[in-house]
Amino acid sequence: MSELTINALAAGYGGRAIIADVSLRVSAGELVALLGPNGAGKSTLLAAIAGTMKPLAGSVHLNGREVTGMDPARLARAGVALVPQRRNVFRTLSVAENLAIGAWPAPRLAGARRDGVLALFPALRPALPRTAGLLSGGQRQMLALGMALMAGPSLLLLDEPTAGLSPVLVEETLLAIARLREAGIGALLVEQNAREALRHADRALVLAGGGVARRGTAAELLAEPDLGALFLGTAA
Amino acid sequence: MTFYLIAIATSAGFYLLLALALNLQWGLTGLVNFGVAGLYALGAYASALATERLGLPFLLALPMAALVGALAALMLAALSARLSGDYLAIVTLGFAELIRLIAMNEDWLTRGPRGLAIATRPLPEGLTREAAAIGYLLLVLAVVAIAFWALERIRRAPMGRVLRAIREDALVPATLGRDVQAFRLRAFAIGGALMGVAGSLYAHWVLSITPDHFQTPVTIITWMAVVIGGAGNNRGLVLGAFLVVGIVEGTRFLGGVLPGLDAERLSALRIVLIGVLLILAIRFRPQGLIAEQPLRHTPPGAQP
Amino acid sequence: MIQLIFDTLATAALVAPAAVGFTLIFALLGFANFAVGAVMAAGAFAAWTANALLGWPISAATAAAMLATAALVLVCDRAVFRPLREAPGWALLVSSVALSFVIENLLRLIFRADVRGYDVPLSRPLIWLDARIAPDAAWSILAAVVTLAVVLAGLRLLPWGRALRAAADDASLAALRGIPIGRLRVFANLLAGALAGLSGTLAGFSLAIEPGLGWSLTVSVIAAAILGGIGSAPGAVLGAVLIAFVEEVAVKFTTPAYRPGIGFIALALVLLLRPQGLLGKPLAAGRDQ
Repeated sequence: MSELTINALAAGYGGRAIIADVSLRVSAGELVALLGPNGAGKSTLLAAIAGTMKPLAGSVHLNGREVTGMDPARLARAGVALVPQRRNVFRTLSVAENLAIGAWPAPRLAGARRDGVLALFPALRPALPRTAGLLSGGQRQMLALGMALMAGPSLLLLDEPTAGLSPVLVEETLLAIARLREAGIGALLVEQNAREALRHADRALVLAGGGVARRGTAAELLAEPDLGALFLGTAA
Repeated sequence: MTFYLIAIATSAGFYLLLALALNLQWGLTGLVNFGVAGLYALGAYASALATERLGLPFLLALPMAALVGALAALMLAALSARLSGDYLAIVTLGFAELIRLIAMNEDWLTRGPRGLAIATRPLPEGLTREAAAIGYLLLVLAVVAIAFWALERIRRAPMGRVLRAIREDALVPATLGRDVQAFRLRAFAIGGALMGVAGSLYAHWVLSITPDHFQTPVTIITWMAVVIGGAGNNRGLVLGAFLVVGIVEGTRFLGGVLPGLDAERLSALRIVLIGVLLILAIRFRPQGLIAEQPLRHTPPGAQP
Repeated sequence: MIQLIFDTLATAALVAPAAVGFTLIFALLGFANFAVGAVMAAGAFAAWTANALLGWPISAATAAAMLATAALVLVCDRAVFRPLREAPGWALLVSSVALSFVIENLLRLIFRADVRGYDVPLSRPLIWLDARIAPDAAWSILAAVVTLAVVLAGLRLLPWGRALRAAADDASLAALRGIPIGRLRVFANLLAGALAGLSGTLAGFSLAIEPGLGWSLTVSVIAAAILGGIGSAPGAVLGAVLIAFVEEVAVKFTTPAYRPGIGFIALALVLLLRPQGLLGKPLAAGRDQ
């Protein structure tokens, strides 16, 4: 099964590291939450893993094969899909076309996958002919996730997929992501809603002060009394 | 021979003025201006028409040329103010084309391709040809010196620092609370004014202007001077301007080396070489020959 | 009125293909490629060479010209623009203007600036519903319509067309979704080159075939693309028709020489009133300088 291993990764801008010595592992079928205060470097970490930013140090391996700093398109075709927080759909294309683009790495199973995505996000079905730029925030997030799933990835890197959503939609989205485990898809989930994320995740890491401040199972962290302290007041 | 050298030096002076202006607009502020030839033409025709049709003295015509250049530049920058640099490049290019078309077709105003003759010269009467040539060269050099001094002051003044910061990252000065747009427009307008001045000086030197004098190669050569000289750096610019004029003039003598090419083909070959040179300069030495001196203060929050 | 419609379509046929190519490249690669005009001129000369020198029929010559310009644009991209893909915006802009002059003057070097025309049989204009229709112009319209229909359909229906539209919308997201941007770049350059070549070849019917042919059309092409909305191929076609219409109407009041001037004024108005154009995506800040 697929496994993504990150070793002592350091990343940042202009030669200065925002995060350093970050090590973690995500396997297929497990949901790992990546938590931490704003500016801790969660998005930076995802970008460094996905190859949109070249890491300053450390390594990334996919199933034992080194993929550090690999071209993002190649990594996507290898089964690791990053869904960014913003600008994550093609606004001038229709919903149907967006999903079709998502299937680029794996065109043959596109039909079946689309059915699967629409089963996961039924709200997208009536929106299929609509231009993606006209969707609501919630629908856009669903489409962004759906696009990534069209490629049949084994691992997802999700950057705050519930940002700006109503509490109902937050729960729905996290449920959908959690269900992906049944399909054998693993995910590294960056989430602001720490408590919600921990309720669905298997394991979690807290990124703070430039590195991994805490790691453990979701249950362990949920029981943690001073978790809020780590979040410097932005507790969920 | 001396006559030729004086003419070359004067020519270099005009290009130096254009390059100094472009350096303010692009080198310092990061605005791409492809309408150099148009602003140059505008200044030239404005000044020529002021003295020849309106009977104004040169001392009034020169500021008029500056004003016209400033206003045109301001209008162009305002059109594309909130858009990416590509749009300013497009508008300025279109503008230069429009100016050339008007100059070409509005015979009644500009005498079109036949050329507008200029009798007014900013020099005292009765000078010999040599003295007049040297006198004009001195005039141009004086204007260059003034422009150089003024632009160096802008570069070192707080406005200059803001402009350089804008060039690096348009978001930075916004956090300093300055009006980024106002600075950009002001810089572009000053550059336009200087190009108008260059046009005026050129017109009253060459004594007959046609639209052909103001085609896009002027823009390309000015860019070459700024790119080779080094962005933002006025000292390197002097070197760049003379180098470029040297190349432009030097390639004139290719005819002797390459027999079998008529004048038309030779001129085409020269432009090809100049264009290729510019492309290579951008690719391999975009910072120019003399790199810009960094700002001496450290930005807030950075390590010293 | 019919005459006006026809004249509009005839002018639009010259501008639209190049505008489509320009808009796709601008959206995909992030810069305005000012060499489009020179490529058009190269296309006209290539067609002329095939037609007048080699004796090919004009349709074959047009196809040959499109192949030639497709290759030309790809070579130029590899040699000049691709190495600058991390460079600030001005480097690409200034290089493209320099390249435009290199190409134009290479043409001047090879062919000199004598006025030429295609070797096509002279025929009388057709009269239809009170309008005079030159056969050349009719053929141009047909060629443009057919080519653009194929291209627009391909962009809409074919996977590579969809990928190009996606990358034109957001190149980095396209990469994240697995689209090979490098190969797409090649495809886009070939397509844009062929379209510019078509425009140039068609222009050679009504304008004199000389090295500066493209430069006078550049402003109209760019204005059409911006009016239509950068990144939208149908937008560029629409923009071309609108600009052509305005030009045809305005030309009745001024001389034909002012066409680029009209293009510039149209451009200024678009930027003032609706900079994202008719069908384009909302504008971002654009490449940094």
